[in-house]
Amino acid sequence: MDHEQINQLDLIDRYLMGKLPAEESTGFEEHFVDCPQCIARLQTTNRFLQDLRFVTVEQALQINTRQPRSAFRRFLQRLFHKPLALAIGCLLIAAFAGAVFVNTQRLRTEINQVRGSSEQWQRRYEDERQSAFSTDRKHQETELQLTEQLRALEAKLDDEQAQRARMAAAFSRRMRPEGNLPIFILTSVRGSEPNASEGANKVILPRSSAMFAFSISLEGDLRFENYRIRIFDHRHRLIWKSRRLTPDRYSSLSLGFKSDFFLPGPYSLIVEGDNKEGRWDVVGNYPFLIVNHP
Amino acid sequence: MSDQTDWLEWVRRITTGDADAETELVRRYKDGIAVIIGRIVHNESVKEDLSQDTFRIALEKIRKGDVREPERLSGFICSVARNVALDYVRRMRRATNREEIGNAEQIGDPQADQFEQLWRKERAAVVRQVISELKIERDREMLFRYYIAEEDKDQICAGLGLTSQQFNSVISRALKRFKELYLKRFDKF
Repeated sequence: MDHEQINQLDLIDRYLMGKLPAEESTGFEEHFVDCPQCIARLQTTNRFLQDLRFVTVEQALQINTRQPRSAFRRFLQRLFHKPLALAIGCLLIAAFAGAVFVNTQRLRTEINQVRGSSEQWQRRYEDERQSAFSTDRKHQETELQLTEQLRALEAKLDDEQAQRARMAAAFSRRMRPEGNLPIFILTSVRGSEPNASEGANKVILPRSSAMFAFSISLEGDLRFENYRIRIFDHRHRLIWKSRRLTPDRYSSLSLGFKSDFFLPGPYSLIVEGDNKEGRWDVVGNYPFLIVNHP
Repeated sequence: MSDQTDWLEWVRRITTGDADAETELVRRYKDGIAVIIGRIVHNESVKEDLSQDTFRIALEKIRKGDVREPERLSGFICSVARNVALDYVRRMRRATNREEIGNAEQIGDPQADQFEQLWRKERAAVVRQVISELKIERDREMLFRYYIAEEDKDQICAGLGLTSQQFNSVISRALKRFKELYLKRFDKF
């Protein structure tokens, strides 16, 4: 709570006149109890208010006591000099008093109604003012939250755009036609299970190339029309399987991979032929060891 | 002023019975407490008694460790003052069996003594002078409608063709003059 707000909302006057809602009144008390500037203003205004009320009451009492007495005396003096006028006067007074009484009752009822209505309006005004105040505060909070969210989303969008740009750069690098594509010719190991760690086919992948190829020579074993290739890791888990392949005119099968497809380590490549009886016969094992270029 | 206060240390000193810390508490809050109590109870001598009760109760509670958030000490003191004043009003109501009084805050001075009456008349002279110095009838009307009839400020401004700034200026001038005359006559509030 600052002094500009206190002045704008007339908190000092409204507090002293009991027009502040309880919550606002408590908040203001917590401020001014430790604020000499506000206390000084409260003291001056309160003293002025009290003394002005006192003066007003005093003046009202003087008006009520002075004026009727002198007028009434003059009236009585005139009446007692003329008896007929006194009688007529009494009748007139009675009639006037009756009319005044009825009129007073009516006015009193109207005043009460107006007062009730006025209090209702005042209450409604206070409620609406409070409501507007809280709505305004909520609006500000929501705006703040939305600004924060917008900021976070913009930051996220920037990150994603940067990431997309990096990916696009990498993609375009990979999609570039490449010369000197590394081609590794794999030779088979016949007989027992190949020991990959021996590195019969050591594949050293150069950093500069995004792709490389395997050329697998069938070494004249062209018993089958169609072949397939399966690649296993050192735990004998299948990591890749080809579709049906047909050897080229050099009796070789060719495979192309991205450079980052294999992690460094030993692998086993099995070539199998379709015997057209629903089975695949093993043609050869081609163990290889992937090594990244140092 | 409040921002520089080490509330925790202050409360700790009061808890350990440091007389200087207690004196500082009374010095710092006595005027504010008088305003809070004075709005509920209008009798000067009762107001002083209730202020003392407020500090007695507040210090007892602080020593017992009832103030768990030292930085809210001002709020705590205010609530003690309000409770003390309202409790007094309730006791007065029960004692005088004045059930018809709806608004506790409107209970005034039940019996102003002779000195009080005399003093009020002296003070009234100051207000009369301030009012008489207002040369424009509209300004006098404004003061009465605002402070006595308690009409809404916007309503008065609309009725008298005043801007909010003009309204504030009249009120401010009247209060400033009142303060000058009052202090000249009585030295202090």
